[in-house]
Amino acid sequence: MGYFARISCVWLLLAIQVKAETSGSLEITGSYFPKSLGASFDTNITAEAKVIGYEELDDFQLEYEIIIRKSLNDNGKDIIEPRQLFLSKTFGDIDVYLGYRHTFWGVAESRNVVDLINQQDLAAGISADNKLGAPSISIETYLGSGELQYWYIPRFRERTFNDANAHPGFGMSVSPSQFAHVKGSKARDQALRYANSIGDIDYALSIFDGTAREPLFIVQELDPPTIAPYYERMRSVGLELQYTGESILYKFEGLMGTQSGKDFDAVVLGTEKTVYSVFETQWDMGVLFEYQYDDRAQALIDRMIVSGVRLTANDEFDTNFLVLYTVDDAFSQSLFGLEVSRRLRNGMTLDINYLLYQSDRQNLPFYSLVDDSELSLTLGYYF
Amino acid sequence: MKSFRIILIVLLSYLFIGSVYASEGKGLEIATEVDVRDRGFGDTTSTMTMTLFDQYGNSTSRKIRNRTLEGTDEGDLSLVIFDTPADVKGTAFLSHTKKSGSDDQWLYLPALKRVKRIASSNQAGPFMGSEFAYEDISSQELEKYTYKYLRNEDYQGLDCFVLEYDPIDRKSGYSKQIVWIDTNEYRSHKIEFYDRKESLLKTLVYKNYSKYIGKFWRADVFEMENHQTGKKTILEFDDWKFQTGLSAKDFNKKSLKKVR
Repeated sequence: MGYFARISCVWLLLAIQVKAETSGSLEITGSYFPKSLGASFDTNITAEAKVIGYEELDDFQLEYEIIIRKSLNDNGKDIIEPRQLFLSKTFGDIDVYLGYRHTFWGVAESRNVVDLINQQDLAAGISADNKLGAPSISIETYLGSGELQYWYIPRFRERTFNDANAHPGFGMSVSPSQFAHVKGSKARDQALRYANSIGDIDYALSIFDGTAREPLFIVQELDPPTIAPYYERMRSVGLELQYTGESILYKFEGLMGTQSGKDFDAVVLGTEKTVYSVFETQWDMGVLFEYQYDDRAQALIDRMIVSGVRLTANDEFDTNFLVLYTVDDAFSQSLFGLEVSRRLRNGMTLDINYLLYQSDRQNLPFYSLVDDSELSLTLGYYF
Repeated sequence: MKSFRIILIVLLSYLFIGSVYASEGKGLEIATEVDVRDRGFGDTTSTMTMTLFDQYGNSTSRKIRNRTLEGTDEGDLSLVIFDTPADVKGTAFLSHTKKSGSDDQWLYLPALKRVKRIASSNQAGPFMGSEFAYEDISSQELEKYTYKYLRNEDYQGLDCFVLEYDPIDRKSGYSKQIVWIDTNEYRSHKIEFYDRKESLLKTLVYKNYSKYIGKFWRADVFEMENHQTGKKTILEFDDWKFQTGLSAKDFNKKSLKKVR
């Protein structure tokens, strides 16, 4: 058990001792992979429990969000994760946080290239919303009417991956990670972000110096062969812009920098238009369009076009539909996604997700994902 | 004789137009008095239970906390925090009301730790699946309507002014609102909302008024009935507190992330 994991356990015990105000959820997901190949399973069940708490201690506030996940067929998904587990203290206008924290940077919907603090919990699913807590010391304060954040992250969290035969899986086992920095996972990261708004425009500027969150992969010619994630060092500047009109949003997210001595740019440009009360019903319809560009070696595809429709029922069940179609700029490989979510009754929710990968040719990155097309149903109980 | 008729018509027209001006003037006067009497509250906090009834009488309820800071140059600042249903616990909605034009609005999604600026032209849309539209729950700024005094009328034993509020913003879901305001304390007791086709859409009834810190009246119960769908929403307020020391810093994007 690592140092931070031990600290987490102590804090968790402490949290239980002080009987913090807790809430949380239990989710059961059943997945079906209709195009699964023989080497893999075609159904899976995953359970995830989340405990969220907050407590005012004498001198500090304690906050935590602990995730425990267990999967029937995919051990890669199994985790005990302190997505949040920190002490915080406010000195005048300055908030100081110590421990595992979760944050969000960015404005776009389909991809957030500037969102660099947390590592992705990829084994939980392809959505970047699944994150690992960043073990950090962070400071937040006001600068004029804006907000200034500073992050010091002394330990690197490695990305989680599914089992070799899971969906998606590498087809070979993952060997220990390699790092560009000699200190490996002990190399420190630092980041700074300033965010403010002027009228209808929200903006943020950030700088990051640390280990890249997305790894490259090196196949190790062993018997059997394995795959090793390789994490580069990265220095970057990020810019976020959002213009909020009466029913339209324009978004820009850009990250430029160097990665192991090589310059890169990653950009997401987007717009979202909402039509309220469509056909004189209570439903709202949002139409979104985003363009992604990323010339880093880690990016599966350089240029992607995302279009989508979001339908919101505005009913007491919070019924929502989201259809997203992501395609490369040659229209030769794509991902179709459908999400339906609805509250069944107070405290219970139902989510249906469908992912369909398509690829014209065998040599395209998405070709290897076609068998990972998935239909899943999640029942959630919240307390 | 003909010229006499013309003079009569002109005179009558002047009288008619004059009375319209008079009713507009009186309407604005009353609405201004309502506004003036509520000035100086500083800030308020309250908790609210929102119960939604469908047309068959089935109900579901949610708990919400409200914080409001009185605006000085611009409209009020308000923060709404959802405690239940449990799956949206911690979600918070921040609104900076503008006296004219669209309000600035942000939504905090706690599972993602994300603050989202949202487009605010959705004022006619339902708030949390209820019969209240965003424009019904947002701060009622004087500049958002034109006013017409209609008559005086008895409402539940209280002498009331009956006023017509005509929304200035064409994105409002209403063609007009008819509002009953008592002549003694200038409190709203009933509002009829007419849709864009001039049909009666909803009726809001305020109940159980109490006076706080010797000056400010707040109703504990808001009952909104939708006549076109048969659905109903009841808001029950509790624990009203005034002048708790909130400041603009409690109503910005950063505070939204720290909301408890």
